[in-house]
Amino acid sequence: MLLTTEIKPAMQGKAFSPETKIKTRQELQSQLAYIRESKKEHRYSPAVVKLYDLALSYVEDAELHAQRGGRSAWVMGIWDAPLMYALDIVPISLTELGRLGSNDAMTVAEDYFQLPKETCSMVASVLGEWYLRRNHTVKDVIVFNASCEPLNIGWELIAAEGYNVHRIETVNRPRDNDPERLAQHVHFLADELADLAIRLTGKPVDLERVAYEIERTNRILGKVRQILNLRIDNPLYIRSLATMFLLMGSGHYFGKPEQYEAVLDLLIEELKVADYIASPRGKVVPLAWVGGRGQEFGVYKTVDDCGGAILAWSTPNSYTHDWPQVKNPLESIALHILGKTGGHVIGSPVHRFKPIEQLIKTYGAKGILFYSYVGCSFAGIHQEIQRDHFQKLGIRSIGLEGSFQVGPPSGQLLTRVRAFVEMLS
Amino acid sequence: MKKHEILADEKISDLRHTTVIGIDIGSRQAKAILVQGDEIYTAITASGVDSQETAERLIRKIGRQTGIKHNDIAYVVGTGYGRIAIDFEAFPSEVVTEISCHAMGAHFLNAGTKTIIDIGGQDSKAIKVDPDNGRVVEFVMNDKCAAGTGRFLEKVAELLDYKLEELGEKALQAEKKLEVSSQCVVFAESEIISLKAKGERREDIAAAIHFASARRVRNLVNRLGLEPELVFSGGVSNNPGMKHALEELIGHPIKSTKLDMVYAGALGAAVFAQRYYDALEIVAEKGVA
Repeated sequence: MLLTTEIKPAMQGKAFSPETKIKTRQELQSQLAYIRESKKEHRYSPAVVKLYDLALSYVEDAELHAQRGGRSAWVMGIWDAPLMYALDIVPISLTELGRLGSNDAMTVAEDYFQLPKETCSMVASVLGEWYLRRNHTVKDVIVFNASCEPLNIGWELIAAEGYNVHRIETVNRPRDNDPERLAQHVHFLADELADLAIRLTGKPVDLERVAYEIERTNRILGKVRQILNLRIDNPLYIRSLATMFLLMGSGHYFGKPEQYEAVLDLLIEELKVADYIASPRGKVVPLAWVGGRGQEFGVYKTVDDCGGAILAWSTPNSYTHDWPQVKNPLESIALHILGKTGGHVIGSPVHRFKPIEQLIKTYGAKGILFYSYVGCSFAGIHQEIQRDHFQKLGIRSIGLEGSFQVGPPSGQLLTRVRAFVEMLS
Repeated sequence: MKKHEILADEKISDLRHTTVIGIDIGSRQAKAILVQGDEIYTAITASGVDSQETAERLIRKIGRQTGIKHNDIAYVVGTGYGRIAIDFEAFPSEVVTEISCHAMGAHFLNAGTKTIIDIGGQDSKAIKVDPDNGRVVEFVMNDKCAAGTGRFLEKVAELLDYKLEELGEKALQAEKKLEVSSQCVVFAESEIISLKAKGERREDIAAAIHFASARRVRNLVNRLGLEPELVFSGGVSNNPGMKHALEELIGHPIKSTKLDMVYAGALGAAVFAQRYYDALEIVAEKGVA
């Protein structure tokens, strides 16, 4: 049961809206419940409602597309869209498994795959969910071998369950200030992508199609930037969870590029004329989110409900720069992945210092929420390195560790978030 | 108790005469503070399964001491583990995290507080406080492991056949330094059994457990950087064995206060209740509503 405490109008100041209520019992029982509630909260915005409809139908529609003779493949949901759409393959982001899957996934990971309890919750829940879907989902899985070692082991386990795992070789961190070495890595990765296309379709990819798709990506990223800039003046018109979905969509378009882009256009038009949505607390504390695309949706809700708003985002879905457009579009993708355009999709956390500093400046963030998944030792170390850097710059932060699988958020995680926003208020 | 008997001198005038209640529902114990006129009343009870019912029980309990009726209560703030379930229809209420409330409560009890160690029933925290206003500057929590928490000490007391209330005192009677390497409730249990089997004194084992737990808390304090004055709040704060272990490991004395620091969170909640009520009054006077 969701109890609410109605805050008396006198508490709100001039910005008070009579419908405003602060939810005091925050823990809904699943990610889907949070999406549905957020969709309801955004009923004034046809664009956000459509965005959630795209998110909710994404995986099922992509699987249906494959069942009806089309082609779909599981991907990382970060860099894949231009190449996949150029190959007429609908990309299904594997991160969707965490929120739209089932709560049996972890049990399967522990009991069937015999993963230790300490295993990264992302790896465990993704593997478990793939096992549960093994008889009705698409079998192609396209992955980087540079992601992390637990995931590399995971690819072996799902290959044994009948999935076709297509690995892409790449370096994890190109050397700084060594253009010759970078060029070698870019060529190598572009060759890998060309090989992948042949493995998937039996023929070379149409490079003009790839170039066209990169143009589309850049157009979409431009619109995402415009939305996030408009959001600075009206941060709660699109609340934090919806904004995270908007960003994730830029990596795969929810399998429906035209519809996703239409949502962006509609949202821009709405934001230009929208009434200001007041925070239940009056003033809004602008925040930055750095790290994984959190699965514990209660965190986003708590931030918004207690007077914060996440305005700046540094997640795997980088939006601050266009992708480079060089002669060979596969090299454009490689350059984006290897981080030479501000994307820094892979590699050391120190690459992210300057881009995050710039984000904080652009969006006026007063504090940083660093987010990693329970059991992910890589992200945990990234987080500490980055927190230390920003602490020295005098920017306050909090480290959050959330689970990946379906289920309610932990109360203590929400306490940390709320206390952090209270501290900055 | 009179305000001047327990509050820091410079904070007495900040807590006005409005009747407000702070309720801190922890995982093991629920505490309440009522501020009425010049008086401060306290109540404590075991946390029940239903936080709302526990909160109402506390209000009834405090009502029996003071004779106040629901109509007399201007504002209630809930905090602690069970705060999310608190919701009253009879009077305005709000929730604030225990981190902010412990900081504010400690500030009102000792205005020079800059660092707080808070050990409760299920987690431990180190909190840095701005001595100018009692607001949180930074905090760090250990909620991954039960070691050193009230729940852990309950288990240890049971294994050593002590009452929980006497565990800390017994630890102070240690004559020998023993090592307990594991700080996990489950593994520490087998270490305690093993030490008992070796014939070690219960007092020495109790001290070793307190020091092992305090080492974890020291790591939290080190992360923030200790700035005196240091206070100790939460349910474990009146355990003298833990206080001694913390002072020895951290190398700094813990400041005493005139109120049992178990109530620090509830007092902070009462201060916030006063402020929320003041905000209501100000807006009502200006006619914005």
